[in-house]
Amino acid sequence: MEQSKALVPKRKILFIYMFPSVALFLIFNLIPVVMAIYYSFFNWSGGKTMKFIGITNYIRLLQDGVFGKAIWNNLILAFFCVVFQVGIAFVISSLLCTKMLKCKAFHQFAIFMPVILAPVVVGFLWKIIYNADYGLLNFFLRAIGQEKLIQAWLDNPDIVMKAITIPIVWQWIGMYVVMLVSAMKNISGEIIESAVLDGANGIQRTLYITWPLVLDTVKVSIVLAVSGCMKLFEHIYIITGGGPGNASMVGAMYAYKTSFIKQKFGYGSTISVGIMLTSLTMVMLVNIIFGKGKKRYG
Amino acid sequence: MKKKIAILMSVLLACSPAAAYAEEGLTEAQKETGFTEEVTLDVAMMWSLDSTTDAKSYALNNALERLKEDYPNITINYDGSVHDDYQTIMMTYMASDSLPDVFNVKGSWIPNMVANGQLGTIDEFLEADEEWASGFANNILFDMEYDGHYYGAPFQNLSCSLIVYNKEIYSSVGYDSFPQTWDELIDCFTKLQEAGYVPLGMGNSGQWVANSCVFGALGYRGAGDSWYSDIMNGTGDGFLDANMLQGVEKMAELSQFMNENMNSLDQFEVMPPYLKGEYASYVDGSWTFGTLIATADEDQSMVEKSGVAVFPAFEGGLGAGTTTPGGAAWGQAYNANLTGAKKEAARIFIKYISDEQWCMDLAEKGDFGGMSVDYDYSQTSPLVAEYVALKQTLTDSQQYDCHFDTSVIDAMNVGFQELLLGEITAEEWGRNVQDEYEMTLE
Repeated sequence: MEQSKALVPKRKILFIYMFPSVALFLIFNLIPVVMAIYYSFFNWSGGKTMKFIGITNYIRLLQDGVFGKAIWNNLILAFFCVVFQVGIAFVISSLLCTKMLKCKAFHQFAIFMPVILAPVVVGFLWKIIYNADYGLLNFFLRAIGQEKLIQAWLDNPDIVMKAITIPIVWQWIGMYVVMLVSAMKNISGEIIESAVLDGANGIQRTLYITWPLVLDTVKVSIVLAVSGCMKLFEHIYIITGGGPGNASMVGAMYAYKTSFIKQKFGYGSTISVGIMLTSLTMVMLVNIIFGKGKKRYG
Repeated sequence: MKKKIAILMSVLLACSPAAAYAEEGLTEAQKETGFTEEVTLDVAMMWSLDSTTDAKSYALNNALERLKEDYPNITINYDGSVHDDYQTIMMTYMASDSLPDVFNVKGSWIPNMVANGQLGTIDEFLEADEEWASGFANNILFDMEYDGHYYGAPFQNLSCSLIVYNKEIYSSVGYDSFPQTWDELIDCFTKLQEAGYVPLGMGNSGQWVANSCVFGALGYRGAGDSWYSDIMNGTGDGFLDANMLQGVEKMAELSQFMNENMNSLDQFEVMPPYLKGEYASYVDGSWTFGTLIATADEDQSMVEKSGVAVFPAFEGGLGAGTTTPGGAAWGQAYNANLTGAKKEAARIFIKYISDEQWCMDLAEKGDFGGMSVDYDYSQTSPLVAEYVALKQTLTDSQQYDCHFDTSVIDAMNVGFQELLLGEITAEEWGRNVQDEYEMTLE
């Protein structure tokens, strides 16, 4: 069907409308990416002096154990965030959409509140909670007589990544709850009523009706959780700085340290490109996995 | 001719009151230097102006007041931060080639900044004001020297490795003075641990304290003088040097006596448990006194019970136990792009933030400027007076983390956290740092 020409804006008008957002995207997204790729081919310690070294930085990146560890930590975080952030958010959303839960407004506020906090604030808050001497966690363990569990949570390389995962999961659950609740509210009441008349209980309704109908939103949530974890920086910077040693190092933190502490801006750019490629691969994988799932439910 | 002379005389007569009037509006300093141009300087430094515990903040506020009185024509746009954040801020400025007019420069930054044409030499400042220049001893200027030129005016005289200890607690385990040998130190720490104290506190969350304050001393105790030169010249066994690694092994040995949360506390956070008597001692540098005294606030009893010492030497090491890594480490520097009136204003300001009065203001708060000043430190605190007496018996050794390449320093720092947690051995630490070091040599 041919569209009415009256409804199609003139090219000039279209350009003027789109210009601000396109310009912002170019300035803050595309140009920095292109610049990072450009710098990644140089030995550059900041300032004017730069030396072209071809793909040397990329060869070094492939042999860099710390980068491998940092990306592995990102993947661990992404796994926990998908399982716990999206998983818990789905359970909470299901509860919020039932009649059995009271004080819904309060619950929604309490769950969403951490989302509006700056990651730096959350980092400081949890750093204090984990403090071995005056932290809330050890104080609580002492209060319930579990002194044997008391420890320096952020100084133990075996525990530190798990400790950092908790505030990250805690902060962003609210965002996924909002998305999933909105998706669940869009499910037609007639479908639910039919299921109830057919004798489906709450769990069956959730598994066989709610889950398939909100799967697209779950997929978007997972993509956001994975991409969010791949670029995670602030929490780590505030809570541990990537330490002790490199135990809680993640990709963005490693790129930052390499650039701003080691003064290796060229190699820091290479690490950033490495993170970008890994993130794109992860998001593609998520799309492939859930693309198949969609067909099954389609 | 007579007419011409009469006109000239009239002009001179007319000008003289105006000149006198203009002269009247000038300060003594302006009259002396003749510098009256209106200049605004952008300044970024690692001290906030409103800190109540930082001696440098106190001295800086006084210096700014003095400058305002003497040179009202110089306006300072000040951007203050704290030590660890300041380094990141400066790296960003440096990368984007937008350094402020005057700033603090760390010794290890100088080669890179000079290579990029970003840092001005202060040689001409030193030559122009010999009285000011003569206040800096050679060992203090050493950290600011690169390729035969000086690039920063020292504003402090550091001893980077000191142990502040509670004399009463040490005495309670049979040590009336600080242990003089390594074996005595280990024996003392063992007894302190058995008595329920943390023998040696350290706040290493910034990662540099273990390097500056522990390895700086123990590395030297192991390796002696030549290792530093070998590293700087790319000769010798580098970070696989067996003598130096003895110092790293001793660090690992000490870790069992340190606070379990050493890598999540900063150097200020060890002071409260020390003042509460939970830690028998802690390791830090000479910058600690001002903050310790301010943290203790009205109750100075724990500070008065405190003594100060350095790590003893150990058997097999090449370095003496009567040294501490010391010097200026940092200096007041200016942007190489400054010229004319701005450069002159920078020279004047740099002088105000490194001169004798600056040092006196620091002394008043228990800190030490780049010049030796005649000050009775006992009126600040007996602990500071004890440090001053100790300092006279010590010689400065090189501050490794002030001169080595920044990527090598980071590899050392990260490795020390792992070493102190028992994750790696001294040899593994050496191999990891050597890999990074070899890359810088390439």
